[in-house]
Amino acid sequence: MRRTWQTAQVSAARPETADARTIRLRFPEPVTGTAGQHVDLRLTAEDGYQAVRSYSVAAWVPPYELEVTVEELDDGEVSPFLVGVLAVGDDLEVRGPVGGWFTWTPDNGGPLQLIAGGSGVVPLMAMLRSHSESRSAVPARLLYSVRSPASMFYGGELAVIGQENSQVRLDIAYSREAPEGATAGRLTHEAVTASCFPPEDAPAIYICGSTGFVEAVSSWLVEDGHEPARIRTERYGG
Amino acid sequence: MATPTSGFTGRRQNRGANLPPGQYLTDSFPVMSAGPTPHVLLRDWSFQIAAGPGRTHRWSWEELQALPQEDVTTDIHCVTHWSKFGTTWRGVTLDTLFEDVESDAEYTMVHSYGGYTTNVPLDDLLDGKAWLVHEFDGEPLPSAHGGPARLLVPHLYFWKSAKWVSGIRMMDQDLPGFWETNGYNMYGDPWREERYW
Amino acid sequence: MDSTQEYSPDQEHVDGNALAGALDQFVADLTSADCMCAGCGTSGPLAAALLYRQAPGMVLRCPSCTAVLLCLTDQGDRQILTVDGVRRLVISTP
Repeated sequence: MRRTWQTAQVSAARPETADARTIRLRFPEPVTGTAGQHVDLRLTAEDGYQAVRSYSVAAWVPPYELEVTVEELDDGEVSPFLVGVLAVGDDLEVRGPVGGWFTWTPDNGGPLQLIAGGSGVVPLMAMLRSHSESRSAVPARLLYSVRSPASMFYGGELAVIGQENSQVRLDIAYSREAPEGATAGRLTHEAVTASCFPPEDAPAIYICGSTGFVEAVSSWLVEDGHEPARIRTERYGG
Repeated sequence: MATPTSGFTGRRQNRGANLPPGQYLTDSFPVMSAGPTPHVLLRDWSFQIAAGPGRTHRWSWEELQALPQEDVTTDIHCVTHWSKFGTTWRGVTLDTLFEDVESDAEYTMVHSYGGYTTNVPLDDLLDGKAWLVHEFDGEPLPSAHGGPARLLVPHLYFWKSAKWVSGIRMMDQDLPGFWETNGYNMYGDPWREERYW
Repeated sequence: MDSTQEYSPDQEHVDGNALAGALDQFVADLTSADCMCAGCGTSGPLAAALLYRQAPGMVLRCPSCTAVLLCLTDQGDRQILTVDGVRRLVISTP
C-alpha cells in the first residue's frame, strides 16, 4: 500500500451503463491489494481547488493496473467529470489501495455471502472475481438488487461466472423494471432470507449499497439469526 | 502543489464581485452535518444566556416568539467554499436577547443541542450583526438546517452560525469550540479568508 | 523499541523517538483497529463507526452513543487529528 499520493494514468475506459463507466488506471509501479479495498482519487483545478473521493476497486489487473467503476451522481462534483470528461491518457492522483475491514481474500474462507444494492456491487464484484480467479472451493452467493436490466453492472461477466462456476449462485432482484420472466418490486426481507446462506452455515456477509439499503438488509439478517460480527457493511456516499 | 487535473474545474464556475476569495456561488442550500440531527420538541426547547453564577437568562419557545421579530436578507459563506446570496430569515436580534445581560466578558461560547460548540467574540453578536432565527424562506426552519432555531452570524463563516442552538455562555478569554479545536480559525472572517489557524 | 536493551536503573525513560517502530503498526490500516468509545465504553472496528463528512472536516462517531470518536481536518499542507473520544485502540496482527 502507498500512503502518499501518486500519479496514475487512465489506460482504458468503457461505459458500464448509460451513467456509469469503468476506468482502468495504470500505476508507475506494481500495485497489489485485497478485494473490497478502495482508492482515493484527488482532482485539482487550475486555481488549486481540490476534491477527493473514494472509489472501490472493481478489478485488479496485475501488475500495474486496477479498475474502478464510477456512477454519475445527480449534482455530483467529481463523478460527472470522471464519467463524462476524463479521457484515456489523462493523469489522476491516487492514494491507496486502502482499507482493511471491508475486504475478503480466499484465505478468509466462507461461505461467502455478497449483497449489493445498485453501484454497491463494485467492491463485491472484486471479491467475486478474486473468488473465481483463485478457483476457490468456498461456496459463494451474490444477491444483486438493481433498478432495471439496463442499470446492471458487469452483466455479461456475471452471467458467465454464474454459468461456469458451480460454487457461485447469483440472484438478481429488479426493483423497478424486470426482464421477461422476472417480476419487479422492492427487495423484501423474504427475498433476502431466501437468497442467503442460512445462519447455521455461518456465512461471512458483505453488504454494500446506499445507507437505507445497507441498514434494511443488515437488520433483516440479524433478525434471521446471523451473528452481527459476521456482517460487514459499506455505505456508499456521494 | 499537485498538478491540475486536465479539464477539472470543480463546481466553482460562478464568480461574482460579492464573493469572498476562494468561494463559489450556489443556488442550492447544501446540508452540512457533523453528526445526527437532534430533534427537539418545541415544548422542551429553551435558549439561555449564561453570564455567570446566578445570572442565567432563559427563554422558552413562546417567550422567544413574543419578542420583536426581524426579517433578515443576507449572503452566507460556508468554509467548505460555497456561498449563497440573498437568503431570507426571520428571528430575534441578539441585541434584544442581550439587553438585560450584565457581564464584563468579551467572548462567548455558543452551544447546541447535540453537543456542538463554536466561539464568537461578544462584539460580533451585537449591534445588528447576529440573530436567533427560526424561519428560513418564509417557512419554519427545517431541522436539517438547524431548526427549531439556529444562530445567524452572516459576516463570519457559516460554521459560526450554530445549528440547533441551545445557549450562549460568556467567557473571559477566547476558547476554541468544535471546529476551532479541529483546525479552523478562531474568528473566521470570509473576506480575509480566515479558514484555518 | 529494542526489547533486548539492557535495563538500566538510572534510566527511567528514553526518548519517544523509540516508539517509531511500534507505532508504525498503527498506520498500516487504522480502520481495522478495534476502538473503545471514551463516552460509553462500547468497542468495535473504526470501519464500522459512523463517518460524517458533509462538513468542514471528517467526524467519526460511536455507532452506539453517537459521541465523537475522532475528527480529521485537512488544511492542505497540514492534517489535524483529534481523538478525544477514543479510550483505546487495539490492532491485531495476523
